[in-house]
Amino acid sequence: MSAQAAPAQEAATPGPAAGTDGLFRDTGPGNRARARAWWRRSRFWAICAAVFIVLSLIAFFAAGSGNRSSATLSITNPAPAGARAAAEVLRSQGVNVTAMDSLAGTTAALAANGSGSSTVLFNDPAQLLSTEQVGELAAAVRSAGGRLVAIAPGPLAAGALDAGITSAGSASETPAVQAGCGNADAAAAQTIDGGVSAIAGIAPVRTALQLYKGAQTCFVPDGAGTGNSGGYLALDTTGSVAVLGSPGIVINQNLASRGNAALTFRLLGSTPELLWYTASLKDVPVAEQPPSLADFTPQWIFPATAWLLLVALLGMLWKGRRNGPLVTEPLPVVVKASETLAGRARLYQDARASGTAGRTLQHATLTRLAHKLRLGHTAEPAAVVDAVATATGRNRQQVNSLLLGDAPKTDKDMMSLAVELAALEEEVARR
Amino acid sequence: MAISGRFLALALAALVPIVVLPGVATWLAALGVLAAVLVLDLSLAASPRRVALQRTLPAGVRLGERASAVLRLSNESPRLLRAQVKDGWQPSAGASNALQQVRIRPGERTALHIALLPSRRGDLLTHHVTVRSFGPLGMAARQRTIAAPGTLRVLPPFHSKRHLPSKLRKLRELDGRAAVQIRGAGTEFDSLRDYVRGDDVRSIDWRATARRRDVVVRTWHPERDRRVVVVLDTSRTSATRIQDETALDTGIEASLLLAVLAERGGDRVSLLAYDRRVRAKVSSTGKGNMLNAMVQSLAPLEPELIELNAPAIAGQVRDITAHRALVVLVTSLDAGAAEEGLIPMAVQLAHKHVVVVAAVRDPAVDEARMDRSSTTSAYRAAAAEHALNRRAAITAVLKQSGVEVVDAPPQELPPQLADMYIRLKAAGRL
Repeated sequence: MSAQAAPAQEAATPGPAAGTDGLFRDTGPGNRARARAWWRRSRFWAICAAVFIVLSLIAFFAAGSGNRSSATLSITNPAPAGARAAAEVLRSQGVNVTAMDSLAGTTAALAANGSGSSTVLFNDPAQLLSTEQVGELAAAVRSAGGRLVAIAPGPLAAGALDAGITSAGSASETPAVQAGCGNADAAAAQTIDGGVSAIAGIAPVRTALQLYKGAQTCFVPDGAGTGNSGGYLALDTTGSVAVLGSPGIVINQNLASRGNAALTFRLLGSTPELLWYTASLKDVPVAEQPPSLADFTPQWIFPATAWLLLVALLGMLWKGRRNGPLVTEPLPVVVKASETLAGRARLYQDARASGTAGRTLQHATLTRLAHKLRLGHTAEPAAVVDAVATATGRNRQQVNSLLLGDAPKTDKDMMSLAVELAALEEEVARR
Repeated sequence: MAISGRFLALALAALVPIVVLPGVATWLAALGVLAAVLVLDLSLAASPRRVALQRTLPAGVRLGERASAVLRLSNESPRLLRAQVKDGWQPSAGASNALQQVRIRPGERTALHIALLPSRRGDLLTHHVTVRSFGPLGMAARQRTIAAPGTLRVLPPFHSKRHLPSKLRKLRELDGRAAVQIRGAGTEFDSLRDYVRGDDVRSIDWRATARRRDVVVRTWHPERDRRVVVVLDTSRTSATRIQDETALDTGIEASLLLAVLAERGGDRVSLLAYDRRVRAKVSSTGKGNMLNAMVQSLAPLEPELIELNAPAIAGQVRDITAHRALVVLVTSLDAGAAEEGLIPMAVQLAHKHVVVVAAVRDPAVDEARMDRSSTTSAYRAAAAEHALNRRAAITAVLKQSGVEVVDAPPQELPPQLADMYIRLKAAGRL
């Protein structure tokens, strides 16, 4: 069978009308034209969506800015409670500040940095490390010849750092405190304090205030008395292990206040490498961690579920794609003829129009009986009553009251009248 | 674009490697394979844009009868076309196999037969044909909708046709040409013929008998070449549904039977469908295709939700014929509409013409009238009596003015209207 000989140029005729040969061809716009038409139609919403996505991305990156942290004393936290200022100043002074989050990593870095070149800032706010681990850290620092600055360690941890350092309770506030000891760093700082909030109207950040005693005890608050009371800074005899009881002097909010910066930078900036070690869950032995759901599920669950979601999407596309546009059915208006009848009946009933209904029934029966008894349309009602009485042998009085009597007053009367009229008609018809 | 169930099965099958070798690489590889299959199949599919279509539709089909629409597709692309073709008939066309699979080699063509069983009278439309062309793998398809309008005219069923033989026999008896020897009941002299036993002796023409010396009888035939004008009301009252059909459908049935009968009876029939303007107008030309012209013009009629412009009907009838005619008004006798429009119009027409009003009676009203089993049904009976009373009053007014009224349930209206016509013709009132 040969192809239709119709020239392809016919497809250029506008509209869906068939060509002279009665052939229909796709005369619609091509894919590119359709895309253009779609763009023209939904340009506004497409641009809206694009702007929304771009703004969301900008907001996400501006807020997150990659690896920003909100933890207290984090070197990537620019908030009042962070320690980014201290880290940045140290960096600009040539100190290589490295954030560490595990004991193993810290000891490895200590060993890698070489002897005497590292300072370790040890911050364990949640007290995750056991005393053995703290001792291990202290030993590693000691063997590397580095310096250890512990930020508010717990009593046991403080003891594990250096046998000579003990916890001496806590303080409630940080007024300016004089150095009051022979340590060069402390003496250079002269006075430290809790600082004030840099932003008016925002409550200042409060941090833990611990007191320690050691071979050298500095910054003893006034209220704590003298002699054996603890201070905010305790050092061992060589000054290579320092315990800072007031982390508040390092945070961004307070760094610029009094001698806080001097103390911070002298403690942390004495070596080219600073390992900023914050204890994390990685330091907790694995056996102590509760097993998560992931340990019980097979490895393929997540990829398989994701794939099934994709398959479900494909299933929707498969079944949801229509074979061509929707076809409309023009529906003509059709009204049930007895609607008006039903409406009138409801009106009668709702209005309790038993009188009207009864009269209508009486009149209809009378007319029909007149017709049946061949009395004509114009027959007198009395004549019809006479004829009915004669035909049925009923009492004339009774027939008269039934056909011409008073209209019923109640639904019940109307009902019985209707039934009696029907019976009478039947009786006449049977005759 | 569209995908097939096969593509979905492939996607499901990819679950096996994902479970066996969990990992991002497997996942991405499965995704890549799917995408590759999709792109490959789409690029190898024949273009659905290069399909030429040709329709062959039946000229007309009666409601309730089956029809077959032929759709010819020719593949003008250089590739084998494996496609699903969907003809976009509207639902009431009853296209049971509108979606069909085809396989056409390049340059060849094929014909699809689409079975139609229309469920509604009128012009049923299809606007387009959608071609979904699958690639050689049967995974993905390109889809295109091609505008290809087609119209199927569904004609009135003319169920009342079954009354035609009996009514025609009556008409022939009237004509004196029936096999049964009945005196021709017409009023016009037809011819003289020899007496045969059984002829009515009253029709012996004594003067001719005297001339011929044989007994000769006169034969009569009814008057011929009279005008019958059927006016079909398509206004809002024709939208009422009585039993299974609208009043308009019943009116069309009655009009058709009457028109065919009058046509055979030798009269000239005109039909006018009117509400506020002329919806259809057919006049018999004497060429014998009156029925076809009528069903074709009546097929697309729909009830219009507007009031009948009754005063204009007299003018419309005058346009059709200037002479005396039998005017049949197929309308409704509902109270309100009739009192304002129908009665004055029918009375005015009756001055010049013979007027018959044909209306559909709702059997539900007659049933409701006698049902007195409960208070609600008693009220309903009263309402029914009221409606019948009004109807009887309107009928009485019309009859007083010399207008004939045919008031019958849907099944009965066509034969009763035909009987009325035969009666009028026999009485020589046309």
